[in-house]
Amino acid sequence: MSDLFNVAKSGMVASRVALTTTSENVANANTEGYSRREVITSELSGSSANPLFSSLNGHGVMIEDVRRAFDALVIGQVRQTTSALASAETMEPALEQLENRMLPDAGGVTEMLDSYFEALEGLTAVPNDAGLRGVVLSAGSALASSVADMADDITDLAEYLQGQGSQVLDRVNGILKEMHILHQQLGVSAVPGANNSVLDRRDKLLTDLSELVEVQVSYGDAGEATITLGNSPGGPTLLDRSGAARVTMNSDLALVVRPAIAASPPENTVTRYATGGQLHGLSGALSAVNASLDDLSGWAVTLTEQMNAVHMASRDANGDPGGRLFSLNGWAADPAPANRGTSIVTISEVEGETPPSGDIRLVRDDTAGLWMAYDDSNTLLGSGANQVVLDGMVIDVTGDPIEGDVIDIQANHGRAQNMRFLLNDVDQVAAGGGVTVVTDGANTGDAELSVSTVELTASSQPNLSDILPSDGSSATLASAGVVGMVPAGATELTLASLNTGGGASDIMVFTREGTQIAGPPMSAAAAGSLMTEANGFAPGAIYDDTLTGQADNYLGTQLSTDGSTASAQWLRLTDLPYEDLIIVAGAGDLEIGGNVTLGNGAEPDDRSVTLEVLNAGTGEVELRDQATGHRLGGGLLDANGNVEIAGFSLTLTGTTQTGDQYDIGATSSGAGDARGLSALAALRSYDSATGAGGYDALFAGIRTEVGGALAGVQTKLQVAQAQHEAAQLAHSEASGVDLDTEAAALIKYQQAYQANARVMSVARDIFSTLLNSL
Amino acid sequence: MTIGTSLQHTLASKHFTRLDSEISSLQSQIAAGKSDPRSSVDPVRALNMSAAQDQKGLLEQFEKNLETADQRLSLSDSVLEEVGNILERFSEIAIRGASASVSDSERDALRIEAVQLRDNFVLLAQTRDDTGKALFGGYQTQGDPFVDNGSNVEYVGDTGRHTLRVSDNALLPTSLHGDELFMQVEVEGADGSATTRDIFSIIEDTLSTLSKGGGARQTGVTVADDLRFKPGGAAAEITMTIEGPSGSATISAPYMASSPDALLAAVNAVSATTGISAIIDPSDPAALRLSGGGDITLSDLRMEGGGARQDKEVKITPMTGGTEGNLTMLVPKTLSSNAQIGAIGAALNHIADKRAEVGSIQQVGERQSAALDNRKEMVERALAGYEGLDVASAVTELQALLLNREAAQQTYAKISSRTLFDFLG
Repeated sequence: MSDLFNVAKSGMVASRVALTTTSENVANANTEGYSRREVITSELSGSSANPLFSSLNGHGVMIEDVRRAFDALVIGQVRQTTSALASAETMEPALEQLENRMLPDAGGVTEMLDSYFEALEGLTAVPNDAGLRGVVLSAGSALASSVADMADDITDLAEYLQGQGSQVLDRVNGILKEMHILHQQLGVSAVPGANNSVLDRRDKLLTDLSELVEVQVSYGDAGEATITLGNSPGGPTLLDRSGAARVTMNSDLALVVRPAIAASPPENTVTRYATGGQLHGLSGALSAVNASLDDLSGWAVTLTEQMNAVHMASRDANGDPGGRLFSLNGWAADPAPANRGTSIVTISEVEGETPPSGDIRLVRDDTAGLWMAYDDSNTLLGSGANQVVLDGMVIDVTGDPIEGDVIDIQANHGRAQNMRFLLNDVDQVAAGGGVTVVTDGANTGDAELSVSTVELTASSQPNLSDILPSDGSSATLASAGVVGMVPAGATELTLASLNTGGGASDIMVFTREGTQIAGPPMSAAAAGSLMTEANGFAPGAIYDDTLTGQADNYLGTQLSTDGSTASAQWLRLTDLPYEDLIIVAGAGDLEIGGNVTLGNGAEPDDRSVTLEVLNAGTGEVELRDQATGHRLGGGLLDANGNVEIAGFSLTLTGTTQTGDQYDIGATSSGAGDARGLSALAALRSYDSATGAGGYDALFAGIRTEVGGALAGVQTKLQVAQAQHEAAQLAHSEASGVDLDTEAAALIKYQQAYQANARVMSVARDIFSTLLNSL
Repeated sequence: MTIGTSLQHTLASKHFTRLDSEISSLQSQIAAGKSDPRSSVDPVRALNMSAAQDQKGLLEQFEKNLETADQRLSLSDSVLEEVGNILERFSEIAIRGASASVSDSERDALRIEAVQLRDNFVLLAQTRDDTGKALFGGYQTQGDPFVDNGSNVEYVGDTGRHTLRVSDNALLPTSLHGDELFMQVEVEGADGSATTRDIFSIIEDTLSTLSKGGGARQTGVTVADDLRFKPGGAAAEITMTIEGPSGSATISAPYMASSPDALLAAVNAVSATTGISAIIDPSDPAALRLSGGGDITLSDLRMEGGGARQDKEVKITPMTGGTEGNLTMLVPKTLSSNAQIGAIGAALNHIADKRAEVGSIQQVGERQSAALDNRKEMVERALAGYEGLDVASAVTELQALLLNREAAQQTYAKISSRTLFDFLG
């Protein structure tokens, strides 16, 4: 009879435990990480049987386990999809921010670029208008600022992502440590279901970890997890029985995993990028952001180089070539951590000079009271107390330095954030047609030629028009030698030398560079003493008598000497070249008459000349007219490789070899010349022949690349969301709490409890019947 | 399949959020009336839109350039029209002045008018555009393109033609330069071949023909027996035909005031042919005295050399019988009244040609403008297609989303409001 009681009692106990478990399920229905519990019961076998009597029935029911609903495969899928979702969710807003920054909104690069080109086109219509030139300056400056601002903003975004990465890493390390502690609690109690809450916590932490970084998990007998990094087994171990690995991160947001084992050798340290989770999203976004920054810098370099090239090939109203329009040169100053003093460094670029390309180190020498500037190879570049002036750059240092303080200055040229507009004076805009230089392909030297024009220096000699009597008569010269000069622009010259008894003096006509056009040739000695700067000849003028007396003469000048008689020598020059000519009289009666027609001789629009290195050793060069082959002049290169010949200032930089040639095409320029501006404005459209221009389309390409990446991430996000939902549904089916199910269970266990209580009651009735029958 | 109650709520919440964000995005597009411009929404559309916007900006700039060019060309056209009017009047004056019947006072009146016209002409050549820049200076737009010293006008501009971009590849000149307009008139030269002169010198020569004694300017002079021959003040090479009692000959010799010897020798060298001899004039060492014992005819004068045009003449003084007669000016054919009338006619034609050139450039501009309009319309239409929002479809989509959200909310409320627990107890 007591068996009946015991059976009923075991049933009541089991039902009560089941009811408790159900109520616990109901209570935790909304608890994150909670897995549904189920009571596992088993029949109590007849333990009181003896060898003589075998119990035919069991002795009730017993609680075998309160089992936690857990499916390793399903939860693995949840973790994997969580990682994928977290990655996409992290990457999407960052890329969205990047795309929004690049949208063609007001004040953006696209608008500034349009304004800049509009300003250039506006100035093209009236190239010498100071107001419109000012507009070009401000539009150029605004364009450079907008590019630099955008680059700064993108850099800020990259830095923000790196900061986010550090925070995520801290949480990864925190979770790994907590899990290690959690592992030590597993298996401490043998009571059924005692580990369930620890395991819930473990799985919650694993899911949290998966949100941060994708991991692979395997479980030990006691439920302890071994965690490896990555989307497939075999990755670096983050957590095992030894403990949590030491995880750090590099600047690209790649994880550096050092095993937990003490004194682990460095070669066991592994660097891996996250394959999922927020860290993967952050590193992916950082990579996209850095790529956009590189693209923007590349775009800025293209724009800067092409715009500068066109502007430098154009000429201003004075005929001088333009300077650079934009600069991307910049430096970052980094004081050494060990510095004891405090110093602030400001670096500025000097226009027209080439700054050092490498890094610079400033070292404080307090004894001398100077900052010493060294290059990469420790060569002293310069020094100064508060300002160090180097080629192309000025370094200003303020503050209170102390002996031995070091400041590293790193060159970061070519970056968009350095972009700035260099012109600050309206006269610096080179609007006119330019000078082109083509280096002969057969040159053996590597020298590069840069060309500018210099004003044709008016000779120091008097104007011949002022000497010749206007009434058509003659004048008597005081002495033989240089008579005067015919200025550039004159079109015609008629001269007569009269014989008044002693013999007519010879009349000779020379260019300032020493080419004789008319008159009897001179001896080398006589020419040498004649061709001095005092006589109005160009420095380094070289005597050339190959053309003298020819009817079709220097650069198309026409010479006529018909009509010379015994009593007079006559010469007539028409189609004079656009340069000063020097008139020399020989010995004789020195009675000279004639006239000069000044006037419409204009500077030729296009001049094509060739520079040839005649002797690389001495630096002797010669300039020839391409059309006629006539020698325009020659000279010796100075220490800087510069020489001025026939209105050109020519500078050869590099190694020259004898015979090297350069073709120079020059066009005239004036205040109303807008060919340079036209060429600049034409860069608005892409030129398929040169591959230049079309910056708006190039920028749109960068923007589209970002948009394409974002669209990809958004698609990935939608897929990840769907997959995650599916995995969550599967997990929910395996481990989730459904209130309807629990309500049904509640009814079931309540009825079971009531039934067992009824058995107990029946047992009591039976027992009473028995007692009463005695 | 069993779904956990908690997950059911979470999923429902997520779905509502997603619907809300789609509704919000669509609403903002409807409010702006424009499609989402972001590349992430539609990369191809965004790229096309960006290109179309760039094209639109470019075409607008070309339009502005065309307007500027047209403005300057119109100004050039009206200036050239006025220049033509002045030349026509000059032509009338030259024809009137060439008549020997015109009295000195009448010639004076004509000259006064001509001087005024000349000054006006120079002013027209110096015309500035609406920005104050020289219209005909080429690239030299600062300052006047012509320098007038009273008797001679020099061009100090250059031969640059200012251009503006009116399409991706076309540059349109905005004016012609002063050299081609005023300095390159093709006229008949001394030897009958074509040569170029500047209009100002033609005008100056016309003025010279109107000076006092202008009627005495001849291209051929005949004097009996003796004459004084004195070239103008320019050193030059003189060529002319001398006809004397014995015949004619053409001589060529350089002459300078202080050295008439070469010319003297040249005349005497053909004495046997012409019957004319020459000596240095006893009263003027810069002049020759020609004697022939009969009629002496001088013609086909050419004076080549530098110096001012007004000096290219020879003063012929008849000295028949030792008595000084009336002065006659022997001038080259190119400086004769007839030649002047011809030269002005040539100048008129030249200006008319240049005006036609300006007109043809304007016509090119107009054609370009029509092409630009078409292109702009196409670009704007394309842009509207890329940029504009199909409101009807957007509103329909919005309606569908709102309905969807409402249905989702109602079903959620219905489903989640009851569980089995409601039936317990």
